[in-house]
Order: sequence, then structure tokens, then C-alpha cells
Amino acid sequence: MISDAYRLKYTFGIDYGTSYVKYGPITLSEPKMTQTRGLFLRDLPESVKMRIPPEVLSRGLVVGDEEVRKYLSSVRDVQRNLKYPLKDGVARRDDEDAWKVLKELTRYALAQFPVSDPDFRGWLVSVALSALAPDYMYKSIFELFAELSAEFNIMAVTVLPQPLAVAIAENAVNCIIVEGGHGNIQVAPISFAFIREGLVALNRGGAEANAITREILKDMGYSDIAREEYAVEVVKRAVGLVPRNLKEAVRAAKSNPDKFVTKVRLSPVVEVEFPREYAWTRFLIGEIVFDPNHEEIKSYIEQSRLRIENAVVGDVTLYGEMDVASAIITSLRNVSVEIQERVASNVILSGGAFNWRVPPGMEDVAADSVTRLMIALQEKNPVLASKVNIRLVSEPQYSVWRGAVIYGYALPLSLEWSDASKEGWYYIKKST
Amino acid sequence: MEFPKALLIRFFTETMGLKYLKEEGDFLWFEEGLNKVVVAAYFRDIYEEAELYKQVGALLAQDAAKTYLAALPEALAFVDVRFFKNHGVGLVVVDPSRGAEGVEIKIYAKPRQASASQVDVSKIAESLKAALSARIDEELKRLEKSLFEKVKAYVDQRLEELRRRQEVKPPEPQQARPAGPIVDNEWVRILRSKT
Repeated sequence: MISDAYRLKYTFGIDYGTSYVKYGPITLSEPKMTQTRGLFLRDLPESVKMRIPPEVLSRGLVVGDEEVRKYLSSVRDVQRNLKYPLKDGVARRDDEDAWKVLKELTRYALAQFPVSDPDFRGWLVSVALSALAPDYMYKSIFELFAELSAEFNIMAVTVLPQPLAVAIAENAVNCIIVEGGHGNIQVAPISFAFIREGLVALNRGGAEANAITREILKDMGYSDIAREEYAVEVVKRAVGLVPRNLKEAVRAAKSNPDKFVTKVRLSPVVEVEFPREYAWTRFLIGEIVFDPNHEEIKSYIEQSRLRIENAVVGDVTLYGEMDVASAIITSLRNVSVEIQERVASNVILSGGAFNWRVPPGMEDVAADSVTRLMIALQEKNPVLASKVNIRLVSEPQYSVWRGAVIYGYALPLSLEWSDASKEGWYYIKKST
Repeated sequence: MEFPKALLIRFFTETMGLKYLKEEGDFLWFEEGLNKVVVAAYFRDIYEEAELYKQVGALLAQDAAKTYLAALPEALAFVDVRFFKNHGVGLVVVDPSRGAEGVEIKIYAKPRQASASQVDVSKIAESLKAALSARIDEELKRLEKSLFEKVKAYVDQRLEELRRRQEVKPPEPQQARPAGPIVDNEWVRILRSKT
């Protein structure tokens, strides 16, 4: 019999995010993190091979921030050999390299927590996957842990969608989770469970804000800086503004540009200046995440400088142009009418795409994500808006992991995995 | 006869790149790397053949790697080139009337094996010893430094582990602390009700 005390010690959470894997046992106050990527040790010169420990060389792959950096310069074709396994949180079924990286990342995570306790009977692993993850990913994750059980003592594995994990971490039973990642935004209604039919995904996110920042930089004559993703990200974070209303904000910035001119220092020798004639473009950077349906943004799309289009991941369509408020309304429509109001009463924003600040003195034209979304909902559906409460998660980076370990702690061990309900524990030893 | 001597020293130091050491009677001593070069400054108003060869004889007795006889153009009449070449003695002609350009090597001196090797061995051994000891010193210092760093890193790591263990230990008895918010979570109740 596994006691609660045991589960409070040996539940292990892993959140496979597109950019970072967050992992660690329930006893940690914060999870450990490593970039979701792996470096294949192919095409190595013989002299380099001799310096690599044989056990690393035999696996042919390294993961972990430090480890990858260590071998990066040794590998000739970094473009081909540095693998990011997840796109929109999903690894393709036939992408063998991606699955090898995920397995190695999992091994890396488990290896950091060796257990010598004689009472240890195996980890209870709770895995958080993207809400977009198709069925085959669940199956492959179980297979991956079954293979690793030869090396690590794993008792059972369960998988939960990331929005559900956020809801658990936030202790919200009826809510809509709006997760804004780099590549996409997922709107997931939750009422005592994740309502899969209500999932609406947008093919936009932090990446689109980066893309428009890049185009603006090019227009201002900073083509060289626009080439560097890191620099674009820094500029976006520093100058990007979310308008309360784009038209009014642009008018204000054009009539009083001096208030909106700004400078960003990227390094001791590089400084980017937003001059008077481009000051208004700062609002496009934030707005594109919430609503790309504006003439100012469309002109970039018409010139083929930006691509905002629908995409299909697994069996879910990701809408390109749908604004976030409409996505929330669409999502709600797929929820039973009876619980719609309850679910809508609590909208929780999480993820880096909703991380915007309002500089002092600009409160009249700029807004944070919560205010911006509330304004949009008021425009689209005032009745709904009056019943909605919107807030940001307290720990954007860790909330999924935290939710995952709580789920792993609470899910009854008698509940065996069911492909239909996508719930329960997958027992490793029984099935191997 | 000081002027031709000055021209000679200038020529050997500036044109030939030798290092001037000293003057001993008629002999001017130079250093060419590790080798010693001696030049007999034989400047006379009237030259005599016998005296010239006596001077060459004295020159050959010197312990130097190369020997030169320096004379005024008037002495050329008595010079037997074959003799000079056979003995490896060089000949420098100094014409003071042409100033700095009046110095010319007519016959180049051949290095003398025996004396040269003698000088070499002791000098080389000495420099080898110096270089080796410098290198050993450097290596020792490097080793000492890396050893120090390793020991420091090890001690730091142990200390950090110890500190961390101490930091982790207090909450261990009260492990209910993380459980508090977890148990309070409404989801725990909902999930537990599933069977």
C-alpha cells in the first residue's frame, strides 16, 4: 500500500514545454529547468571523439544546457545536429531524432535525483503535455518511461494536459486557461476536468510579436540587428506596448511622438533608437498577440513580410487571425450551456506571451494583458464581460510543473490508464 | 691609428651586427651570438711581410671562433690569399680616406671548429640549464595553481553541499509544509473522489 506520505516524497513532475523542460520531485519548492533541445554527436572529428566520455559517445546525444554548450563547438553541422524536438509542444510521430532527445532529456531529469531510501518503491511520474498533443504522443511517452525503467525505478506514469495543470496549480476548478506560448495560444475551458471539445488554439504567440519587431527594426535601418533573434527579443520586451485601443493609441503617438520615442541599449556598443516617425509602431508589437486584424498589421502581411495563417497540429486547427477575445467566446460556446457562466467567471492567463508592462505615464493609451483582454471582451460581448474575472498566474514559468505534481499526488493509484478518458496511472512493471 | 680602429669597430658592430667586447693590445674582441670573434688591428705606416705573418701567427693563437686581420690597403702586397684561406683567417682592408665606406672584407674567416665547440658546449649547457629550470619553475607554479584551484573547488562544493543539506534539513521533519497547500487544493479532493 502506497501511503500519502510516500506520494508526498516520490511524486515526480515533468513539464515538457516547447522551450524548456521543467522537472523535479514534489519536495522541491521550484522545479529544475533545462532547454528542450539535444545535440547529436555526429560528424565529429576523431580528435574530438577521443575527449568525449565513452558512455556519452555511445548514446550519440547530449542534453542539458551546460552539456550542450560544452560540445557545441565540436560538432561541425550544428544546424543539422542541434535538435529542438517539440514544435507547438508536439513531437512528430515519425521524428525519431525528436523522440531520442525527449528520452535523453527524461533520463537527464531522473538521473539528477538518485534515491537511496530502502523504502523507495519507484517514482510516480506525472507528465504535463501540450493540450494539442495527439494520442500517439501519450503512447510514446509511456513507451519512453517503460524503456527507462530498466535504469530508474519507475512505478507508474500519468499524463495530463498543461492547461489542466495550470488550473490545478491555481486551485481553480471552473475556469478558462489562456496559455500564451512562443508559438501558439491555447484557450482551454476547465470544469472539474479539462473540456477537450472546448479547446481553441491560435497560431500566434510571442513569435509573431518578435516577427513584427524584426520588420519594424528593418524599416528603421537596423537590418543587421533584426537578424539576431536574441536582439529582437530584447527590443520587443523593452519597447513593445499593448494598446488599450490600437487606433487611439496610434493617433496619440502620431500627434505627440516625443512621448513615445525610446532607446534600447543592447550592449555597450549597440543602441537601438525608435525615432519620432516610428514611435507609434511600438503598439503593433503588443497588439499582434491579441488581435492582428488591423490595417497597420495587415499591410505587413500583404507585403509578405509577416505570415499569419491557420495551421493544423495533430487533429486541432490553430487559427491564425482569430483575436483572443473571440477565441475565448468560441471556446465557451463548446462548453455545456449550463456551466458556461461558471467557467467564464474565471479566466486565467499564463505564459510569456502575456507578459507586458505599462510604462509610467502611458496608462491612458497602454494596458497590461488583463486590461487589454477585458476591453476586448467588453467590445465583443458586454454581457459576458460583466461576468468575467481575468487574472494572471502567479508563477508563469512553474505553474504547469506545480500542477503536475499535485495531480500526481492526488490521482488515485487504483485508477488505471484509460485511452478513452486519458486519465489514470500507466503501471510500468505490469505492462512490461 | 685610432681612426681606422674606430672605423673597424663601427663596421663590425653596425654592418656585421656583432657585439663589441673589449680591446686587448692590437686585438679587438667581438661576440657573434655565442661565438667570440677576434680582429687584429694591424695598422702600420710601413708594412713588412715577416711582421705581418707574425701577427697572423699571434692571431691564430687566440681562443676565438673566427679571426680577422685588419690592415691598410698597403698591406695587400704581402698577403698570400691561399695562406689566409687555408688557415681560415679573414682579411679586412680599411681605407681611412674613404671614411665609413672604406672598410671591406676581402677574405671571410672560417669558423674554427675546436674553439667554437668548446665555447658552445659550456654556453649551451648553461643556457639549457637556465631555460630548463625556468620551465620547471613555471610548470610547478601552474601545477600548484591548478591543484589549489581543484582543492578549492572541491572544498567549496563540499561546503555548499553541507550548507544545502543544512538548509534542506530543517523543513524535513515538517514535511507537511508543502503538503499543506497541496492538501488544501480543491483538485486533490476532486481527483481523490475518482475511482
